Amino acid sequence: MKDQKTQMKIMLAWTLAWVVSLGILTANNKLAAENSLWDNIIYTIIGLIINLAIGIGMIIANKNLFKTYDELQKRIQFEAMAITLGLTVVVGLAYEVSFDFGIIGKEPEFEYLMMFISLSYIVANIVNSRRFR
Amino acid sequence: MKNKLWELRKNQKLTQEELAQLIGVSRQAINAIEKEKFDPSLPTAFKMSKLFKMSIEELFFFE
Repeated sequence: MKDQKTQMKIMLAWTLAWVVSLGILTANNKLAAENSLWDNIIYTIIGLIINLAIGIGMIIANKNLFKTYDELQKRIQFEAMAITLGLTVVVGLAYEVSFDFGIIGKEPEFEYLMMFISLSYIVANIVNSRRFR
Repeated sequence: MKNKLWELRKNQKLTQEELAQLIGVSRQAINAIEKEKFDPSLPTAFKMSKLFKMSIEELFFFE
């Protein structure tokens, strides 16, 4: 369990670093578009490479955290992932079809998908954890 | 699947936390197994049977 707490801290540090690097990259692009301050493709490419490298570190940290889970925790996570995947495919495609037929006016964006995946995973995790209490 | 884990743990005067540490799982897993909401894996069942000195069939059974 102590190992799990350490791995959790490592994973959170990587996640925070990834979010910060993504924020800097987005801000860089916005600044470049507005006043050409960082209007240099080299900076963007360097930022992108750093962001991808940190992202890979975050994935490895997450995998290492998963290894510390016991069988119940793994089952909770697997089921939450399965529910999230299913919901994303079903709701995502239904949204796409609804947009194509003009039922929904707002075009599906990647940000909505990310938000939906995050929320589904959090809710599925909470519900699943309560089920085994 | 039914089990005698709660009874055996109480006989040995172990807390869920202590048993979890001996077996190498979380306290939540011990609680879920005792409440028969979750069936343990074979390695965990073997560890439990070894700890309580009884066969897996005596510890876990179908009613």
